[in-house]
Amino acid sequence: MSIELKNVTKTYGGVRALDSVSVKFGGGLVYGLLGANGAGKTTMLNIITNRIYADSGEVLIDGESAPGNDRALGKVYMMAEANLFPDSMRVEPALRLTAQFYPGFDMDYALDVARKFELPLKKKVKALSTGYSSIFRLTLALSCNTPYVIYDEPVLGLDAQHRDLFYRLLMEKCAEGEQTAILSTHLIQEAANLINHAVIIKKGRIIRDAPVEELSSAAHTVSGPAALVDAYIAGRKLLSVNAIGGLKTASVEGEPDAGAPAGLEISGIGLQDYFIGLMNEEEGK
Amino acid sequence: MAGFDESRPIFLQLAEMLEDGIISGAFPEGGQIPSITEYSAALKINPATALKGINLLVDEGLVYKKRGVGMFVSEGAREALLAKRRESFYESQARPAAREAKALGITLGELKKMMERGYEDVD
Amino acid sequence: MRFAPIFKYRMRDCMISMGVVVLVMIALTALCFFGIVTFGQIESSDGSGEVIMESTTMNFGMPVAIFMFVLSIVSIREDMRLGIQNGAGRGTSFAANTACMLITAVAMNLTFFLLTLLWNQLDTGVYIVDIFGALYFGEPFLAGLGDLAVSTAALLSLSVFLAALGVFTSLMYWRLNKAGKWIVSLGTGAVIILFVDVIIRYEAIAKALGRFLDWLFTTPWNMALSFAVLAAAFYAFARLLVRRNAITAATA
Repeated sequence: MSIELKNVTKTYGGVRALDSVSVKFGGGLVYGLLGANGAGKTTMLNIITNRIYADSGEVLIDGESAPGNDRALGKVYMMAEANLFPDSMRVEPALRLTAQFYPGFDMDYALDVARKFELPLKKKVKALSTGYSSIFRLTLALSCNTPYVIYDEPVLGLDAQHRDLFYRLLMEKCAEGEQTAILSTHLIQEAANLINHAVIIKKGRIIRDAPVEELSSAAHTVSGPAALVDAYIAGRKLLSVNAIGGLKTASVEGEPDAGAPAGLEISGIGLQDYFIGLMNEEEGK
Repeated sequence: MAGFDESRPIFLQLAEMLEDGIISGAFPEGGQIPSITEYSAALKINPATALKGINLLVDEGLVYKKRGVGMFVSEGAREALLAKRRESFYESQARPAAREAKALGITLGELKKMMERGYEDVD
Repeated sequence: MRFAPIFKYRMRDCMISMGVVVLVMIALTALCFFGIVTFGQIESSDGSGEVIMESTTMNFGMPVAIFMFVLSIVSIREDMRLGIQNGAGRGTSFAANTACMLITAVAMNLTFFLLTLLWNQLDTGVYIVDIFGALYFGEPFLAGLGDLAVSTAALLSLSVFLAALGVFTSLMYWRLNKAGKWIVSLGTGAVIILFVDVIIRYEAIAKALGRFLDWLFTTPWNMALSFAVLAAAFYAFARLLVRRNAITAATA
């Protein structure tokens, strides 16, 4: 039971937005689809949900080919940045209309979420501010109870308090364990603790696809006097290096060296630092 | 809620938080502790991470699960934790303090005096 | 399962719009009756040589046809968007929209058929113009049930064709990029000019066209058949246009 992409390629005017991407989402996990703006995240999600077609490759949802397949597409709800509701539609009718498509849609819960966010139910969907538009769409996504839910940049325009509320609600939902969630974001720091599994995408290619723990243990940070650090990092794959005066901090791939000399401090690496290091490393190639 | 230290695994930090709660009496023995969902939502951490953290305490017998009811602090959990922390006190607190003292040129006599003063100050 | 919600949403919207148009047409007819607005005066003789003036009201045919064209243009993209947001494939959304257009066309033509019939019973001195009456029956008003029914059938065919044309046009312009839009817009004009030029140049083609028009104007059924064929063709083209198109948000 999963969403599976097989060798999906999409080209826009000669530029490869997705380059033979193969990836799987499933198992009731929370996935982080991480990448810089323009890396191909939204293109990939639009292909999964059949808003656009891939040039080549396959999208399978629970083993069924997805494009044009109502049963397969109906298992995935996507909170997209683009507003696809009719111009004249108001918030509450939009909630009720969505409920007609999804038998698992929980209207009471949706109204409760809307109330918590103070989402104006009578307003036209089109007239909502960026923040409230995000809230409107994430309310739908949280309430639809489909096997797969995609959140594409869910906190766009949300203030700190509303972000916090969303993350709480998302974790509550995910703790039920019945849904696979894909959180697509460029805000890695905020997503780091929420997700089980990271899919890191850059320039249309997936460069990492692994459980977060594995990524965190795939690198570490070492800091201390420059000379010691230089000796330690010699021959290791470097993610990033920072020097302030005689003090040097470096992030390197691999497990920490057990026999590291005293005077060096070795610590774990956060997902964000790992991500930044990875981007720089790939840049250097 | 307290922020997490990025350089250490979250589940370890959650386990420590729970241990601190048991030691301080915030979670009394025999009392119920928050569920995975509550931890996950309140701390905004992945449910699997919360589960892993709590399971550390379950494995040590500090916390036990009642099917369909929730999780409870075991009898004797506090004493066991205190014993464990006493045991690790030398490695986690005393040695680093001594190392720092040496680096600063503090003599053993001075360090002892400071420890005595500190011990008096904290009641 | 995903057909029904789109269909219900669109059908409700269509019925409301149709209701407004029907009410406006009834109001216009009433205004005409009270002499507040006049669309035309005709002279007729009552047989004794005395000329009486009678007034006419707007025909119902054109509003129906234009309404269907506009309705299809504004609704098709909305339904495609609504569908894909809620996990409906293009085929499902397209089918739901098409069903709504056909039902609305039938409902509207039937409504005006009945209204005209009713109005004619009232003998108000105000006549409702009928284009097919003018084209085929030699009189701009139709009173007979049979003639009116045939005229309504032809009008239904025309309105479904215009709905098909509307859907096709909207989807085509949705798919085209900016350059494509220009090319198609100018190209359509060029083709029409070229067509006229060809007719003028080649007598055989002009004659063939003449024969076709003769056939077309023999009976309203020929007109109805022609529009039905065109409607089917344009719906088929339109369906092909949504085979692999990108469904994008409206940019206001």
